Amino acid sequence: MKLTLRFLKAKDKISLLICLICVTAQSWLDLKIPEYISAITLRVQTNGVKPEDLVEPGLIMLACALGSLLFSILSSFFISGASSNLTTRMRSAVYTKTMSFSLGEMSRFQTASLITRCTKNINYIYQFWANGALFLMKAVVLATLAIIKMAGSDTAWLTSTGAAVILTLILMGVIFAVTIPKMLKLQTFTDDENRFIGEHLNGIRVVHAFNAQQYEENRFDKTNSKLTDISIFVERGMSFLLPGMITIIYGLTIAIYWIGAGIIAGDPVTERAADYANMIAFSSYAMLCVQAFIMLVKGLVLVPGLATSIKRIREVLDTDILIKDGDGAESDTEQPAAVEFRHVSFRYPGAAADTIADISFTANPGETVAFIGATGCGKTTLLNLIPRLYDATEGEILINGINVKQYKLNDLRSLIGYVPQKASLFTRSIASNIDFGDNGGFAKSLGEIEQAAMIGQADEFIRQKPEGYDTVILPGGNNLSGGQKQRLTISRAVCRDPGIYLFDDSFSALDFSTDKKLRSALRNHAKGATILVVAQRISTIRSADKIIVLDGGAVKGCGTHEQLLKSCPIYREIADTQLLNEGVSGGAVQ
Amino acid sequence: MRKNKFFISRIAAYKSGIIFASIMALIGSAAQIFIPNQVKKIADLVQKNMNGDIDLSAVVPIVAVSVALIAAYGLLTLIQNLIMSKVKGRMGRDLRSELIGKTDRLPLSFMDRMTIGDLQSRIVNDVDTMTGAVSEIAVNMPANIVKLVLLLVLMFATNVYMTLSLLAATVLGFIATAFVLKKSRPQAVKLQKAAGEVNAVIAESFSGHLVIKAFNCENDMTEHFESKNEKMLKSSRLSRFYSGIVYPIMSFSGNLSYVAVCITAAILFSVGSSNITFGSLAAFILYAGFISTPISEVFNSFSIFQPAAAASDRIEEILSAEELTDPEKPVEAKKVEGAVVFDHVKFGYVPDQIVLHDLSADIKPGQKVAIVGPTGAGKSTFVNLLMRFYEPQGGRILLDGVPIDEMGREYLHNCIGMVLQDTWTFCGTIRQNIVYSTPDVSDERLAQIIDACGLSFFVEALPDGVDTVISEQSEISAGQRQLITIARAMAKDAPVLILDEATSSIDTRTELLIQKAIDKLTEGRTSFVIAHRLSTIRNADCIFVMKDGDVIETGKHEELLEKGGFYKELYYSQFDQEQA
Repeated sequence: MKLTLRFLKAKDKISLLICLICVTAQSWLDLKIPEYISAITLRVQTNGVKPEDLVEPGLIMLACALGSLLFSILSSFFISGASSNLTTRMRSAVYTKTMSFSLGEMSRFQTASLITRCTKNINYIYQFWANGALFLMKAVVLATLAIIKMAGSDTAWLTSTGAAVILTLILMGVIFAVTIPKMLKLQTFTDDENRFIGEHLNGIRVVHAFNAQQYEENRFDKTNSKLTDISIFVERGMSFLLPGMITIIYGLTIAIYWIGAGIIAGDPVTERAADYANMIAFSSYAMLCVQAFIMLVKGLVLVPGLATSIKRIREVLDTDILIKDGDGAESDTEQPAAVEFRHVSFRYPGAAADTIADISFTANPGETVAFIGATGCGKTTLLNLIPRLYDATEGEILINGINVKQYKLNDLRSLIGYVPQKASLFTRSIASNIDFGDNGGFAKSLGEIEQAAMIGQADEFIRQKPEGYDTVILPGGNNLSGGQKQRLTISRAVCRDPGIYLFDDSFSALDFSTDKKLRSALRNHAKGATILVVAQRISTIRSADKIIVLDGGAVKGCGTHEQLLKSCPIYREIADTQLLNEGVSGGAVQ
Repeated sequence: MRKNKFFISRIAAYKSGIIFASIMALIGSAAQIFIPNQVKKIADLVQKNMNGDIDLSAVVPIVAVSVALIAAYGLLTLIQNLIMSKVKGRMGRDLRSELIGKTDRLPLSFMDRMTIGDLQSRIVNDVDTMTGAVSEIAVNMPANIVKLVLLLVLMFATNVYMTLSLLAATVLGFIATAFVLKKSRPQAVKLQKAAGEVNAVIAESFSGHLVIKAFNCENDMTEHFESKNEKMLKSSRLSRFYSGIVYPIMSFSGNLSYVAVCITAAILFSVGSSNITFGSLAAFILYAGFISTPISEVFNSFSIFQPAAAASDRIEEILSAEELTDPEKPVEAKKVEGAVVFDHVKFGYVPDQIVLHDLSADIKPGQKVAIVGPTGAGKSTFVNLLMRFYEPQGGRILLDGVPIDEMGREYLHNCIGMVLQDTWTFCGTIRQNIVYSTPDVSDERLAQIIDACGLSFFVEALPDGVDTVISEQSEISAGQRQLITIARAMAKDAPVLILDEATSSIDTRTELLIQKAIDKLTEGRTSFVIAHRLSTIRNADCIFVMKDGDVIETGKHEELLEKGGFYKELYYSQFDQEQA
């Protein structure tokens, strides 16, 4: 509730208040209508009534109905504004907060979960405020007013109405108690089924290759039957709802008339007409009262989900961000820039052991330093520390002699051209994917973008596209091959013309000749830049000035290709699998 | 009406349930209609004796009939709902099963033409739309029409003028509702679109978070997001407003009916009409309460019909597509030794874009063939044709002397083990993922395979060993997934083996570990290896060098290097030093 209030501006609070007033006025008018029905009934009982006597209450009834409509429209207007404003602000806050997260927070929450929080959970809150809140308001006001109207009426009438309300609550309570937990399961099973279908369609070639048609059908039957059984169960549970409620309402009507007949029979003749009119009015109030309770339950059912959604959003908003901006020590940000690691260790929060331990090295401007090692040896982690996607647990990382923590984050990252392992591109034109982000300079000219693409070996395939550089990349980069995506991410880094390049296994999807061309074009272009490369292929890194062999997060060897072949058994082992025998044993290729 | 034939045939398949449910619905509706009549009877009884003795014992039988009617309505409607829940559930289940089975029997060229998202949406959403409409169209609509007719008959029988005024008010209400709905629908569509855009920006920003950070793009992305969010705000206000007034308009039309009924009744009373009673007024107040329901439901059924018909159409398109055919009298090779011949094979995924022009190759049993060449040279196509994933447009492919299109597909696939380029694992245990459809793999054999693939360390570290479930979220690397697919091919143990980029996601040290396993796997079998890493290729018996859809060089590694052709160029391109 506190969280919700935080996002409601004064204007919205007033809107909600007006909305409540409108709902009250509307309910009051709705309850007026039965009064005039009963007034008309009373008048027609008196002998010698003329049609014009009935016009007045008739017109008032019509006015009440119109007034009720007007207030409904007004309440809809005010709740629309308030609920939309509220959730737009919330969404914006969650988005901005998430964008300020560092990698540590991202991986703690998981990307998929953050997306759900920012979309589905906020949408749930919207649905609650836009519909559920109005339901609850109306239900409470209508029930209260109806009870006030009915107060003082015949006890038997009241008892039967009370019984009907209690029955309705029991009916709905039992149905929801039984079906809602199953509904959550139904959701999981639906997800399972969707996942299965997606998996199956993706793996259709494997299914064919392994003659697994029958196997897959049996597997699907299990998922499918589970889903079918539970959805039949839920639907059957809900089947009781409508007939049950309508039965109660009809039963109550008959009961009121039956009791009413008894009351009127016992009345002196003179009071009979008045009680007859009362009966008609009371039955209307009773209906509205039962309906109000139905609305109340429907609104209340949304509350637990609302609480969960709010909790999930609060978790995001209350997160402290570990990586803070530096003081902005004015370094000589003139490119190029040397990178130095001094006894750097890093451990993921909550992990038992260091991912990298006591790493020291220096990469000077114009040098290429390469990292090689098995999966999980800490290569990516090491690169991530430089642009402060994570902060080192121990030791320090210096750029041009200044600790990275002292830089303003924006200044620091402006120095760096980062090419991540996973090629993530954005749904915009190829040109604006290459000219991405802000490095303190102006947006690049098309010429510069093309040059970057040429160095990244992307120019050729871009030109083959009908729309060239204006081709819009589809979500997930679905209109590009793996290699093309990788070439674009490399071009993107080149386009910033940074002093430091970080390549995280960025050449794996390229064939050897492209890989080679790209590296020589890059070296030519960025003569003075410091290049750090993580790679799997010896061929990619063998010409590096310095190769660092990592194993289990520690440096196991450091030197040139030739030196390492002699001195480092792990390196030799890797090289052996990749190069010709003569290449290894001879120390050089032919 | 062709499209509705499929829909109708589907409904007919569950006819016993549907007919029974319809009968229940009809009787139930009829019972419901007569309830107001009972109220009228009580009211009339009271009113007739307003100035005399009211005989309360006469009320009892009316109440008894009412209770019976209400109980009949409630129970029958409930039974109908219960039956239809089952019918809908079964129908959905059967359709989904059939569709999944069907996707297994469709040619891959058909599957290629559809996106996975589209197919998935047909299996999930279209089936839902179609089954969701069944009870509306087959049960509720007829029941509602009967209800409406009965109601009108009863109303006219009770009082013509009041009926007319009630109908007039109801129709007026409908026109108003329809008007608002017509206004609100485009707003809802706009909102959906705006929300889709916002969600897309959110998904993209969060999954590209690392890049956005590294490139200082937070401000740019946030601005982008805010503009979409602002657009959604406007849409959301309008859409919520319009959808919010639909219900008030409907309830106004309800109130309007009450007013109309009361005023008409009052006028009739005052002019001393003979067939107006208090009972009629009481009954009409109830009629006014539920005349709108069947009318709006009939309209609703009509509006459901259109999308349901379209959905059934899309489902039928898949179910009626032509399936893969097998020869009537499949031929089997006398003995599977693994001799493979490509005889002037011509093929294009799209008929006028030929990928393989005139490919011929002769592979001896037990040979280890490496296929190399630049991206797009047709390497995967080569093995796809051998698997009969696609049919060549010209030429023949023979396995041990038998053309593969004269064999049964199942037989052919039993002869060939394959590791595909895309690592495919599914959400299931590691055991299921490895054993897959291969029958009778013993625990010892499984342990051997896991060991040979270098997976034993990984598997032992898992909480439930081989019975650990792996899913999308599992902490399992691309390399480990790839090892599982290799293990799967090992478990199958077929005479011919295809490895299509089988080690591309495995790091070099792990590859070293499993190279022995792969060597062992290829021992004594005809094998086809497609790889980027030339080290994998070096010890092949024969290398096919492909370029632009043709095999341009063949021979052993040393021979090809000596020849000094394209292979040499390709081979040395992995080193920085250019060769003289």
